[in-house]
Amino acid sequence: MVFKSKTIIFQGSSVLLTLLALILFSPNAFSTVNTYGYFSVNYEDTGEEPGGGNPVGEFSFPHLNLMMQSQLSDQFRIYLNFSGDGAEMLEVRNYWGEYVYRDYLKFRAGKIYRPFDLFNEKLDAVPTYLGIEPPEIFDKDHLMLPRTGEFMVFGNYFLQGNPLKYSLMTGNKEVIDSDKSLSWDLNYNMGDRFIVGASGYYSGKASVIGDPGDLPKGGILPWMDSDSYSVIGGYAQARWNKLTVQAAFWTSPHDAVRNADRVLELLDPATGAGLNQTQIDRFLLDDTQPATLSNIDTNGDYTVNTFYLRFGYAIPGGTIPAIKWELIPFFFWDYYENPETIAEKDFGGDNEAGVSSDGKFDKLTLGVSIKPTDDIALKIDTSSHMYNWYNANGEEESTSYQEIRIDLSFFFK
Amino acid sequence: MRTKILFSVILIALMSTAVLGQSVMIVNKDNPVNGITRAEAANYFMGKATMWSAGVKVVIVDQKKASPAGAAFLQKIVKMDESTYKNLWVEKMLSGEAVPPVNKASDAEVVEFVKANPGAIGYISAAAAHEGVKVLSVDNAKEW
Repeated sequence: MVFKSKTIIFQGSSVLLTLLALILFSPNAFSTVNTYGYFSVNYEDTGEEPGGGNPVGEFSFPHLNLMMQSQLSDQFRIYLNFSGDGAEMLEVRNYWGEYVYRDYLKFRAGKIYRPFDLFNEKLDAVPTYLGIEPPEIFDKDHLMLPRTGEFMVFGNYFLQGNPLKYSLMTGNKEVIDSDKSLSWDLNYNMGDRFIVGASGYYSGKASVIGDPGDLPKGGILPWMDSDSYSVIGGYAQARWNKLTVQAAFWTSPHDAVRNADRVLELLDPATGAGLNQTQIDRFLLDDTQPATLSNIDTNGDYTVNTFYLRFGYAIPGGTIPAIKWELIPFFFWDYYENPETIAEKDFGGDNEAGVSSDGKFDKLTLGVSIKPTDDIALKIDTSSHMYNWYNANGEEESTSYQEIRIDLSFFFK
Repeated sequence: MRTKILFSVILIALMSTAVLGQSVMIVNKDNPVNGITRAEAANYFMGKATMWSAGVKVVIVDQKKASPAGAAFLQKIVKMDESTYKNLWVEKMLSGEAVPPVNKASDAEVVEFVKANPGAIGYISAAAAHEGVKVLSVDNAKEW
């Protein structure tokens, strides 16, 4: 079992400090500052994976998200979101200022969660959503696009009383050389009973060559010299009485160029990147010849696909006298496919799709959320990862492993 | 048997009305709007619509859902149970999507807040004193 300790460090910027000063020192704002957030503790244990590796239980505590927002005038609002997200520091997740002309035309600037899918803007609202882990598109081990942007135009048009929401966003803080990135989202919300939407992202020509151990930043693998890619797909949510159903599909074609030196490092058995045969074949122009700079295939075009299907059913409580509680069993099916990635996270790989012989895996999750009050959520779930892999004899076979997670969160204001 | 069932249904309906009572939607007396639809009211209270047509920020004023006006609001305006309504607002607050509602403990406190804030909208029991504020019609009815 590993315990993660927390050291509080503030990562700031001049924009952030200006927003903070506005919140704290503006006489108009001071009486209307809203401060709230949540604490959570989380435990995760991975069962024995095929091919070895010691299963390790990981307990993180206490996670804190602290939000501040203030309505400075009828039109202008500012928002700050501090988080201790298992990174041994209290970081600033996002911060922005918003100007509202009317509901149909609003502007936001700063570091902003991108409207994308049902979840990207809501992943910090842990006590409220079904399950513990985010959908695969936002899993930090294989993030498919940058979660934040810098400038957004958005708004609501009301059609028959229901909002049609749109947004256009550019800029990001996570991927370098990607100033021309653009994303959009459009969704229609019918009385909170049915939401249907589509989102898209285009990176422009982007690159992230960093430390070998960097996790893929915004969809770009660290052995790429450059990558021009898009993510597009759709999502829907339906609620019938106490039943919630959520679904989404995303596809991401990459037009990428590999860095031959970096790939050669991956192919060197001494570095321990541990590529499987499919990955070695993919990186070489001629897989019958040794791995040399001239034999590296620098054409790194590939496509990532993912989908999820999620069900939850809220069973209202009330049988315990004087305690109002709610029980929400949930079931998820997640699928993810990335033929380019590798297994070793120390080299920017992904120990889910990268372990698989074909870059694909399915994940089934069964769990329950228990809400003894509206402000507390205890979630317990277990997942089974299913994929094909090469066994010790080099033969391809189907296999699986289990994970269990527990999350307890408490909302405060 | 049928008579007993019919009598029971009528009795339950009467009791429900008695518990919920009649409620009214109120705004600041300077607000030029005189009536809205139920869907518009729900959009304001669920943070989907944030501006009055004149460009003034909507400030929503909630009160305890155990109150007659609070219970009527959940059943007739937003049409959801208290847990779902609270969960919706926790989600909106944690994602920064909307400014949290102002919470007041009684009809009188709601009236005082609405009087003092040009963009405010709240709900109270129809029987409560509401001098100095404007009663909005909802779907063309003053009381609901």
